[in-house]
Order: sequence, then structure tokens, then C-alpha cells
Amino acid sequence: MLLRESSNALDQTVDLAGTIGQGGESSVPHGDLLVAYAEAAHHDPASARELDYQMLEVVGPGGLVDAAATVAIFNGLVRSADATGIPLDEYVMNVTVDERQVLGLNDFSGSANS
Amino acid sequence: MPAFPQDSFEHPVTGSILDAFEEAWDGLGRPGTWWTGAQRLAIVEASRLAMTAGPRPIGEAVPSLCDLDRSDGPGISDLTLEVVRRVAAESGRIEATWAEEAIDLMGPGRYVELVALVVLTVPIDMFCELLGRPRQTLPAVVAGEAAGGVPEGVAAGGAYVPWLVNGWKGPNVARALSYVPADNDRRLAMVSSMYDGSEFFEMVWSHRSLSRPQIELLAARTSALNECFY
Repeated sequence: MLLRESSNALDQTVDLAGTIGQGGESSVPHGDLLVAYAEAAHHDPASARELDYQMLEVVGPGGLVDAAATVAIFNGLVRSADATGIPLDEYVMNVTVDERQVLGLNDFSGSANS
Repeated sequence: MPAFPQDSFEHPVTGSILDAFEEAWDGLGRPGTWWTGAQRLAIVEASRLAMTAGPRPIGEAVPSLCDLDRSDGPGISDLTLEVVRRVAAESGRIEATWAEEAIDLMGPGRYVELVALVVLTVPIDMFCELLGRPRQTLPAVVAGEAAGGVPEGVAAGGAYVPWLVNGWKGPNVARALSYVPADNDRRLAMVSSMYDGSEFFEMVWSHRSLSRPQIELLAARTSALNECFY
């Protein structure tokens, strides 16, 4: 939801399928590289360093540090959410009905508690 | 001497991130609310091992929690080790029945504090690894007993664990670990410094090098890879 809303705020359209590893070229600037970075970090953080050169060239050192910080903190947030069984916030639940269905998010085990 | 000096990173890291890391690291070896300092560090070590090992293959037998030794003594029990392993490396597979059994066997305080320790250290280790910095050595144990005590205003209500209930206004993820306020405060300082600053409700961000859609794309892909519904 925040990806869609923040893209709208910048008059950008976004293909949410990129968040589940599908869809065409990302409409978010340098989105394909950022998705590749998140995926590499997930599979093996050390291997994500192979993308450093590209990341530095495209988003600079500040962008690289931002990307590392975002991936890292969300690896904490997902564990907080899954281990405590927190339900999706009511507002988010109401405005993401279609996206959750299309992206298959309702199949994740954590959905049972929302 | 700081554990995370700026010059230990190859690229400039925001001061608020380093401050949040220092605060989190300083608390790891100190007595918590439900675990001693030695037990807290044993949980962090077990979490690091689980992260390195990764998730067990689907179909591999996992032990039944009620069959595991649950006497923590000065260290941590087999039950605690198994819960750490699930939270650290297999959190996307956690279901209500498993969580309820773990909380029933350990007690909500010990369970929530264990989760807090995992989610304080996984992001720090991952951030360091992503930026080519070695994992930080764990701090020394500070002697003392766990303080105990249930914070005012927490109760059962919609999550697996008791949490702040009456009049709560923020996102649920911010109160997920409110049963252990000191560790939850450290966690929220990390979230603020590494994600939203104080601009969560602003859709256009100027405090980060990346734009908000770029940050949210990274966040959404990371959540999906971890099969996190929230």
C-alpha cells in the first residue's frame, strides 16, 4: 500500500507484481536493480556485495546505505510480525483487498490472524 | 569506546543509525525483564547460528515443543533453542497453534523478550554484512537478575502475545513487543533510524538518499521473500 501511495504522490505508476518477483520492468526508478539487491540480500547478504559497483554507480553511497538499512530492518520487522501474530491494521486491510488477492499474499501463513 | 564507530564502515552511515545500534548493543548483555544477561547473549548466539544455518528443508521433522527440555537454568534450554531457531530462520512458517504452545510453555514475557533479541540483532548483523563489515563481537555479560514485571496497559487482544490495548493509535507493528518496553524502545529507535525517520505519514521523503517509492519497493520485496503477510 505504501509503495502505491508514495508512487502516486510523485505521479508515478507502479506495477506491484515486482514485489513478488513478477511483472515487467519496474516503473520505480532503478527498481529492477533494487529488487535484485533485495533478492540477493535475502539469499546471501555477502553475495549482495556483488551488486555494490552497480548500486554505487546508480544510487551512490547514500543510496547503497539506504538500501542496506531498509532490507536489514525489514528482516527484523517481518520476524516481529510473524512471531507475535499481529493482525494487519484495519485501514490497510480495507484498502488492499484486491492487491492481496492478486499478489497471492492471502496464502502466507500469517494471513490467518488478520 | 563505541561498538559501531563511523570509520568501521566503508561508506558514511547516518548518525541516528549508529546511535540506535549502540543503544541496542549495550542492552544485549544486561539483565532484561525476563532473561538474565547471560541468557540474553545465549539467545543472540543461537539466533546467529540459526541465521547462518537457514531454514530447515520443508518436510524435515521438527521437534514437538512439549517434548523438549524446558529448564533454562543459567543458560537456555532446548525449548528456547528451538523457539529461537523458528523465529530467526523460519518465521514465515509460524502458525497460531505453534506460537500459542511456545508462549504457554515459556510464558509470554520470555517469549516476547526472545523475539525482541532476535529482531534487535538480525538487522544489525545483516546491515553490517551487506556493507562488508564483520559482525560485531557480542558485549560482556552484566551480572544481575531479570527484573520481571508486566507493563501497565498490556492485555490479550488480537495478537498471539499480550500487547498494549486501550487507546492504541499507531500501527500494530509498533506495539508488537510492547510487553517488553525497554527492548521495544530500542527496536523502534532502529526502525526510525533505518526506515521512516519521523516521516511515516509523509508520502514524499527528503530525509533519505532513495525516494520513498524506492524504499517501499525494497521493503515490499523483502517482506514477500520472507512470506510475511503483515
